[in-house]
Formats: sequence, structure tokens, C-alpha cells
Amino acid sequence: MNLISVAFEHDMAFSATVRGHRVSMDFPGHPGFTYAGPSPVELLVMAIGGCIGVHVALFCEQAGLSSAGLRVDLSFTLAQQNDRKRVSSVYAEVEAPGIPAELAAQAEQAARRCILSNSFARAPDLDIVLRSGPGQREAA
Amino acid sequence: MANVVLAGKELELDEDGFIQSPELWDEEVAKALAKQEEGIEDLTPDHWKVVKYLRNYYLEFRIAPMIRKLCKETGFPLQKIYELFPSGPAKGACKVAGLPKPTGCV
Repeated sequence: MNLISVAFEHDMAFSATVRGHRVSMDFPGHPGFTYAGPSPVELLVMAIGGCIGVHVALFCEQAGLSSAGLRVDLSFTLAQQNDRKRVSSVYAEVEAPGIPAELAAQAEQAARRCILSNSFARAPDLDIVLRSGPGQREAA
Repeated sequence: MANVVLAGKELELDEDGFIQSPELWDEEVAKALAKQEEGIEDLTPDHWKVVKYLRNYYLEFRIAPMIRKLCKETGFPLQKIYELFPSGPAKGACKVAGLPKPTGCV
């Protein structure tokens, strides 16, 4: 797969790049928040919406239906246990005017089988390694 | 935490504007919270439908409902909930309904 790089920009703002695309992130709620972009968690939930949307669009394509007007609205909640926060729920609503009622259950099934839904159902391994340097203090 | 007077009642609000004593909530407090915390000048029947559903659910189960249930029971799509309460179902609607801050809500 292509390398995804996330680099510090300023305050709490970061930029992520992959295949020439660039996405900004920021951390709402922190004093250094500069509205540079969505938070990493929002970006994750946006990605889930995109993944669901793509899979429903693929369903439409295979069924000869229009994807016009297809939209995914999402909301999420965080849970905090001791000092650790995690995404505790994601709710997604798919508006699909091109899909008739008799195919809605099949389309919903397609949405539930998107790659990120599958990844939430069975959490992937996440391995983190930190490579330190000589160290440098922030200028006062 | 801050003590404020809303609708003639002295209420304690947390740092996100949620009231700390849900039993002190009434419809006048809801109107005041909507205006002060969410910038909603007038609560419409649609706002009240959401607020009353949340309130009744909380009184029965002592927790906020899942968003899916809120949408299903009110008949409002998620987008409509955000139109009514721009801060969203947790930070906006639950706050106006006088619920404690949903755990770790964003």
C-alpha cells in the first residue's frame, strides 16, 4: 500500500498526505485549536461515511440504479474510562433516493459489509513505534 | 462549574453548560438553556418533540438514548436533528433537555 504520512504543522494542526493528496487535521477543544481541519476522530468517522457511500454506490452500479442524491449522515459518541477515551458508537444514516424500497435491505447489507464496518467488527492490529532524536526544547 | 440564574432558578452548570441537577429542569429552564447555550431563540414544536422524547427516556432509564433510537422514535433523520440542534444530539439536544452530560460526549 502507499505510504501515508502525518506531519506536524503548528499548534495542534497536522497534515496527512497519501498519493499526492493532502488532508488537514486539528484538535478541537485544545487552546491551540486553529480550525485547520477536522479532528482525527472526525476524519475517521468521515472515512466510515465515505466507505459506506462507496459500497452503496457499488450496489447501485451493479443493480443499474442511480447514485444521484446518495448521502451518508453520521454522528458519533466517545466514552471515557479512567483516563482513556474511545469511540463508543457511530450512527450512520444513508439517504439513497435511487434505491427502491424493495432493494433497501440488500443495499443496507452492502453498507454493513464495507471495509471499515468490517474493520470495526474485528479490530485490526495497531502497532506503534516511536523513533526518538537528540531532543530539542521549544524556544521560550 | 459555574452557578447561573436561568428562568429564575439558580443552577449549577458544568464547563460544557450541562445542568448538574437534572431534577431542577423545567420547560422554562429548557428555553433559557436553548437560548444561552445553543443560541436557539425560540423552541419550535419540532425542538420540543426531541426534548420531550429525551427527557422522558432519561426519566425512565436514567441514561440518554442511542442516536438511532432518538431518530426512529421522533421520526427525524439525523440531518434534521442537527438542523434543530447545531451542536448535535448529545451536546445540544441533551443539554437543552436537562440531561447530565452523556459520558464522554463530544
